[in-house]
Order: sequence, then structure tokens, then C-alpha cells
Amino acid sequence: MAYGFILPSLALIGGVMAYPMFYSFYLSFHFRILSRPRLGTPFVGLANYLEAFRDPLFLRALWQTVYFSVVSILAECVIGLGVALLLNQRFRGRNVTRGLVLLPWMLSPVVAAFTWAWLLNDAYGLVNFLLMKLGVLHGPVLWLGDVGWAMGTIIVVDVWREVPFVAVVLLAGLQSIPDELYEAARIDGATPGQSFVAVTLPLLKPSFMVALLMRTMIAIRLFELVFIMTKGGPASTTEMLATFTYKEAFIKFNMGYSAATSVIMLLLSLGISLVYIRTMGGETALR
Amino acid sequence: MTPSSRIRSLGWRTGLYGTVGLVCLLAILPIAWSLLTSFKTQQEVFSFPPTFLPERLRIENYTEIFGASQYAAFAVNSVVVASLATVGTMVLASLAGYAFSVFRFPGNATWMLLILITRMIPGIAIVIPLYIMAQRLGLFDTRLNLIILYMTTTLPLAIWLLKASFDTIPQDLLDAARIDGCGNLRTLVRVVVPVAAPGIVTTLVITFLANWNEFLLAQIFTATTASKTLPVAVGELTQHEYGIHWGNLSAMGMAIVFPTLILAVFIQRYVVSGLMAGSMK
Amino acid sequence: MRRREFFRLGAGAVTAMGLTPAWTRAAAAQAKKVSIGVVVNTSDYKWIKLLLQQYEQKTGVKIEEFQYQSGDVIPKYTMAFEAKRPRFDVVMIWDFYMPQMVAGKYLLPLDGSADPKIKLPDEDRADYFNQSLRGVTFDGHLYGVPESLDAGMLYYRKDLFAEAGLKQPPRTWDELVEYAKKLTKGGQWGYAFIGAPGWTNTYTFFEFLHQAGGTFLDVKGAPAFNSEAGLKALQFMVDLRNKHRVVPPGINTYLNTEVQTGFLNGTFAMARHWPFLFGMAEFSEKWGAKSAVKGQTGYARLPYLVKDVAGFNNWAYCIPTTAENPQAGWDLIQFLTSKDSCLFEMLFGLDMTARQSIYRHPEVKAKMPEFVPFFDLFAGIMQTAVPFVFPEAAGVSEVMGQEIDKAMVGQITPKQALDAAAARVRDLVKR
Repeated sequence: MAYGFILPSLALIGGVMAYPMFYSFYLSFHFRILSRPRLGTPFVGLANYLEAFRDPLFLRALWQTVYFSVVSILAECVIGLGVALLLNQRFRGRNVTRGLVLLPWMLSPVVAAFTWAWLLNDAYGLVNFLLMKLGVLHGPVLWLGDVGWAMGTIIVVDVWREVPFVAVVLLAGLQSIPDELYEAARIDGATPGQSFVAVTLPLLKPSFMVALLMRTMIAIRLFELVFIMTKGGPASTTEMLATFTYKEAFIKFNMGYSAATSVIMLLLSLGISLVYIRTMGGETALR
Repeated sequence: MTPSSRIRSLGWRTGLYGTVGLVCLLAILPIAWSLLTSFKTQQEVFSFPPTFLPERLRIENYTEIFGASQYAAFAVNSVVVASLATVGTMVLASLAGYAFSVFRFPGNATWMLLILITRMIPGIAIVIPLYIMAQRLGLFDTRLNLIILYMTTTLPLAIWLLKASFDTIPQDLLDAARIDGCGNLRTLVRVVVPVAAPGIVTTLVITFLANWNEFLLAQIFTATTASKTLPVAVGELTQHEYGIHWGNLSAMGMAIVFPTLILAVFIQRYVVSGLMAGSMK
Repeated sequence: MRRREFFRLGAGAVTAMGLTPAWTRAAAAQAKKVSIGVVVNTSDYKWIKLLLQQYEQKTGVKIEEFQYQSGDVIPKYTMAFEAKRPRFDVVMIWDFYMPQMVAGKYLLPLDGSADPKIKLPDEDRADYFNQSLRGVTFDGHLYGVPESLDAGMLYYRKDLFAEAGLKQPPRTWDELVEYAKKLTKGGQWGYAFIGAPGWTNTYTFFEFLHQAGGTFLDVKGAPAFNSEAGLKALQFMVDLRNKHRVVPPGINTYLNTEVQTGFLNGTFAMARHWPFLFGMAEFSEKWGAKSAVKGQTGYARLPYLVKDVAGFNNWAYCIPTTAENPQAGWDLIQFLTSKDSCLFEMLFGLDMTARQSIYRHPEVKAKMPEFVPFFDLFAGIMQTAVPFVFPEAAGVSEVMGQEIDKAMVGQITPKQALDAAAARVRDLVKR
């Protein structure tokens, strides 16, 4: 009976994804260059995977993806918590504020990427202009073209986009904390700071976990933002696993290799998800 | 409800409203800038120092885009595809989420994990086989194709979220329904859905947004106005040989944002309470 | 029960019968249809579109257009060829990508070797620049018919030159630096070129390389760019940004857009760019654009060190091996590249056609007198231009682009960049 309810979903997902997933997995153990049909598709075992871990650009993309994910998610959690605490207060125009704050997240990633790319333009961008007017900068900064700034810029834009989501998840968590607990803490003589640490944070743990899990799954696969704003440059400082895989597949036509890096991405996502689920203490949505 | 509702001093309130203002400003500044740009001429756009306010509100950027009949077609495609895919996902995910939540059956966790795994595989890896499949089935460049693909990609998350939502329904409610003689389907529709409404709205919003803003798959699987969506149109505006026409691009961007803007203001209340129900495991 | 089944069977049969005539009708209609893949964000599309309409009116053959963007056209073509659908009869391809298309066996030879009726006539062949044909010929076979040309040229502001007391455009690299330094002040930059990683900065390097007397790949296809000449070229490119500071520091993000915008709004005193910039600068009202430099656009051959050359590339029409109706495709190509069509291209599109005879056509001389000296110069440039075409071009320029980029931002020295690039290109081509 239960299977009957699940069947339509499984049938759709399976029907669409089964062949591509298995084909991709199969291809990762073969050698195939699309523009060299004469070379055929010989079986090469783990060669593609080994090559990935010997490829300095892949390792760089791997490191940069992890770095990006950790830093931006950390920032989103901290800033998100701040915004959530703010939106938890009672003030006039709270509902409108909540709506406005949600906007960056609701924006299409593509539109967000272009909008920011324009704002950060070294010659005509608003950001440089404002910062120079305020005296913070003496000359325009190449936010997206300078080796030192590009990664940070990508992180800032992504944080801008994703903070609303994290904030809302945490806000929901905040609002489900019963008032009695705060009362009890107050009676026990706790300061607001202490009750924050003792009451709020622990009870927010499930919300944090939800936010972390969902964000990580997406952060590892980051593509559009980077591809549109920097294409992985300058000097490969913003190359991510997804852009690396795209270039291997569609520019170098190296299908076997890109299939292998895709599988590595999948395993990375899976690994991290399993770690989170373990941390959630076993009582998880998967049950 | 808040831990620090006691201090209502002026300092506190100024600080609060100040921070609120700052947060709002940061949130909407890029969008506001884009809105202003959509009314500018190329000259005004490519000027430094930047022209803040355009000389006049040129709607030419908008008429240029929307005058060309193509773009109306793109909008229709976006609406049709996003709506139908969302409805489809919600229906299937409700059924599946209910099953995962209520029934205890072997391999429960495994199936859930498998479903989530399909969401972890990067798009690039599956694009070429999917392309071949779509071509062979004659579905290339059709709205139906996009609907199927979107449903496939949004189902895993929707099932997970709905399951979490349904998990919060007290067992007694379900028992009462059973005692009243409701079959599973009846229980789902009559009892579960109304109670879990906030969670359902949240899932619906997340799913709709994902479908409305989706770019990568649309770009690859569409070729003509038969199925091209608004995000693809935006993408095309950025590859102009003569230079990116920021005015047009911003206008198009605004057109895509507008529905989401309205959605944001109206549903934020539900999103919060929906996620509240969802994170209480 | 039986009756219901029979009913259903009957309904199915009727439906099937109802559908079949549609299929056969479609099959018959296919004979009068041809499909073409076009890249719409090129300067060529505006007149190609009109030519396609002309063809439909003239012959009654319905044209099915598949539109693509230059940014992702190659992955899409490749997927289409692999999936054998859509089965375009004609595709518009940038010759830069042709080597890998030919290697993948995706294109049909057009010199009669595949199909005797699909052959470029000799008198037409003679009408194309030699260099142009070199760019579309592989293994001795012609795979594309050139449709329009692009070659690197120097543009400069006559008014700024006059102000600075410069009488003529620079002819050597040293003069380029000297003049650019004089013209770099305030918000103005002396020079600009395309420098974003990928084909853009590889193209720029490619030109400097040949101007320094070097070659890109040797006869065996192995990298030859990490030579002395290559070092001089890359050092010069890097110095323009980091030592002489005559190009904007953001130049390592510049695509076509940035260079042409900067020249048109007066930010760049000189620029290396494509022929279509002349039309944009001097006749922009045709496309409702505004050029701040109208009347002041000077043009010349690029300055050089040892060899007076520029890079060039073709856009070409090709027939895929998966074409449904190759003969119809060839017919369309012949129309699109006929003398009349090319004349139209020049008069209407202000674009450099691939046919030499059109440059001296009396109608062109009569209607576009300002363009006559421009064409003469361009024809001269074409005599010595080097085709920017080599195997695995996309992959190679991706790899090279990354190394050149690192040198441009000063992360590594030009020598390290060239050696690293040579090693990576060797691996790539060796597969």
C-alpha cells in the first residue's frame, strides 16, 4: 500500500535519471574524447579518478569549492542568525521587512549574477564609485578581475543571496522556542547573553542542521554564479568543481574524465550529508 | 516571545530600526539599482561617475523587449512550465511524503537516501544522456520536456520537506481519522493537508521558485519560442556582440523578479510558520 | 466486455489512421524544407536573417532556423551531432572550432569528395582570399565556405593623435608603447585589447607571437610558442599592463564588449579590434546606437616587431554529416555565399565579406565611398593574415588562457607560463 503512494515519484525519478546516472558512472571508468571518435571508448578502470587527484587544477577546484562552501555557509549562519534575531523583535513594518529581506533569495541566480557583475564593474560600477566617494578606496578595485579579491567577492555575493533563506529557517526555529524557557532562565538570574547561549543556541540546533544540510548540497554544486561572474578566473582563483567539470566536458570534450569528476562531486556531497545526518543524532528525516 | 522584550529605551529602538534599515537597504540595493538601470539609455549606463537617476523614465527598454512578440511567448512558457511542474511535484511529493512519514516499511531510509542522491549528482554529468533521450523521444524543445525534468529535480527536496512537515502531525489526529473510517488517501486529503498547510505552502514556494528561476536545463533543452523560458531570454541578452545592453537586460531581469517580489511580500508569513513546523522534528 | 474492447480497438485504429496521413504528409513536405543552425549574437546575423527570408521568397523552400548563442553553440552543436538530432542541413561555425568538428567526423567535405554534386566551383574558390581558404581546409579537403572575415586591426583616435602631435599610427611595438604612454592620462587609456582568459587572450598572444616572428604549433602539431619569439610576445603583452601601464588593469577580463564600448565612448585612445568596429564607430545611427567618436576613427595595420601580420578568422557555412537533406543545404549555402548575397552583406551590413571581387564592386564604391580605403587596407591585411585555427582549439585556448592569465596578473613569469602551457597543450593534443 505504501509503495503505491511512493511509486509515481519513484517511477518518474527513476525513469528520467536512471539511464543518465548509470551511463555517467559507466563512462567514468572509460576513456572518451568526443572529438576523437577514432580513439574509441576503452575501459581504463580507475585511471580517470587517479588522474583527477594528480591534476593540479582539479585539486585546486576541489580546495576552492570546499573553502568557498565553508566560509560562505559559516558567514550565512552567523549573519543569518543576526538577521533572524532582528526579525524576531517586534517592530513596525516587520512583515514588509521580512518580505524585502527574502528578495535576494527569491531572485534568479542568473539575474543576481549579472546584476552584481555590473555593480562590481571596475570602470562603471556603483560599488567602486560609492567606496571611492566614501574615501574607503583611492582607486577602483577589480573585484572580479583581481586575484586577491575575486574569491571573496563571489563569497559575498553568494552570502547576499542565501542569507535570507538561512535567516528564515533560523527564525522559524527561534519562534518555536517556548517562552517559558526564557522565563525560567530569567528567574534563575541569567543575563540575556547567558540565556542566549544556554537556551537559544541549543534549541536552534535542529534548524541549523536543516540549513546546513540544504546549503551544503547546493554550495558544492555552485556553477551559475561563478560561470557568469568570473568564468573560474582570474588565474583560476575561482575555479569550482562544477565549472571545472563543465570545461572538461564541453570545452575539452573529455567525457570520461568529466564523468569521473562528477562522481567525485557526488561522493563529496553524499559524504558530507551522511556526516550531518550522523551529527543530527540518528533521529533524522531519513529515519 | 523574544528574550529581550523588556528594554524599550530610545537607544535600543534607534539601534533596532537603524539595523533594520541597513539590512533592508543591503537586501534591495542591487535590485533597486537594476530597476533604475532598466530605465536608462546605453549612454547613461556606461558613464562614470554613474548616473543615478536617468534623465527620464525611458520605457523603451521594456517596449523593445516586450514589443518583440517572442518575449511574450517566453513569459507564457515560464508560467506554464513553472506552474504545471510545481503542481505535479506537489501532488506526487505529498503522496510520497505521506507514505514516508506514516508508513513504516522496510528500506524506508534507503529509498529516501536514494531519492536525495539523485539530487546530488551534478547536472553536467547527466545532460548529454538526457539530451539524447529527449531527442529520441521527440520531446526536445517542448514544454512537456521541461515539466518532466523540473519535476524530477524538485521532487527529492519536496518529498523531504513534506515528510518533515507531516511528521509533526500528532498521531492522535491520524488515529482519529482511521477510527472514523478514512482510508489513507482520505486521511491525507482531509486531515493531514489542512493541518500541515504552512509546511505545504513553504514547499510549494520553494518548488515554484526553483522552477521559475531555473536556467541550466532550460538553456540546453530549448531552442525556439516553443519552449524557451524567461531565464533563457535573460541569458541571451548577455551575449550581444555589440556589447551587453544593460538597459534591456535589467528590464528583463525586473520582469522575472516582479512575480517573485509580489510572492515575497504575500507569503513571507507562511514561509516562516511553515519552516517552523518543518524544523520541529 | 468484448464489445468495449472492440470499441477501444476501433477507436485506436481510427486514431492511428488519422495520424498516418499526417506523417506521410510531413514526409512529402520535408522535400521542400531546409534547416540551418545560426549563431544570432554575431554582427552577421542581422543580414543573414534577411538573406534567409529572400531565399524563402525566391525558391519557396521553407527554412527552419535553429538559433544559438556564440557562447555555447559548440556544446550544443556537438550534442546535436551526437544525438543525430536536430538534423540541420547547414550550420554556421566559427573556423576556430572546425578542426575538432572535422576530427569528430561531424562535417561533410564540400569539395566533391563526399558527394560530387556538393562541390565549390573553381571560379568561386578563386574569389576567396587564400588565407581564408586555409582556415577551412583540413587534410586537403574543404569543409566550409567562408561567410565573413575578421582580422585584427589597429584603431586610433585622430583627434587625440593630433592633440598629442602624433602624425601617423605606430608601426612598431616601440612606437606603440611610446604613443600609448603619451595618450594615457586622466581616465583615458592609450591602448586596449581582448584579454579575458580563453580564446580572447590566446588570440591576442597569438598575434603578438606571429608579429615577433614565432609560430604557434609546428608542422607535427606540437607547441612551438614557447620559443624566444613567444617569450618576447608574452613579455610585451604583460608589460603593456604591468610595466608601461598603458592598458587598463581590468584588461584580463575584457571580451569584445569591453574593448568596443571603451573605444566608442572615448576611453581608449587606441585599440586592437575587428573590422566591424569601423562601421559601429562611424555609422552607428544605422543601428540606433550612439558613437562618441564619430568622425575621428583612424584605422591601420597593427604595429609589429619582426613580421607585419595579424590574426584572422572566418565564419563559415558547413554541412554536418547528420544532415537530413545535404543537397538542399548546399543549395542554401550557394545562395548565401553568392555574389549578390555578398554584395548585400557589404552594402547593408557594413561587414567584411569573404569574396574579394565584392570589394571592388562599382556599387560598393558608389554607395560607400568612405569604406573604399578601409577595404583596401583590409584586403592588404588579409594577404599576410594568419588563420587562428589549430587542432583542439577550444581546449588549447582554455589551457593557454589560464596560463597567460596568470602571467598577466603577475603570478608567474612569462617563461613559466609558456613552459607550463606547452606541457599542458602537449598532453591535450597527445590524447
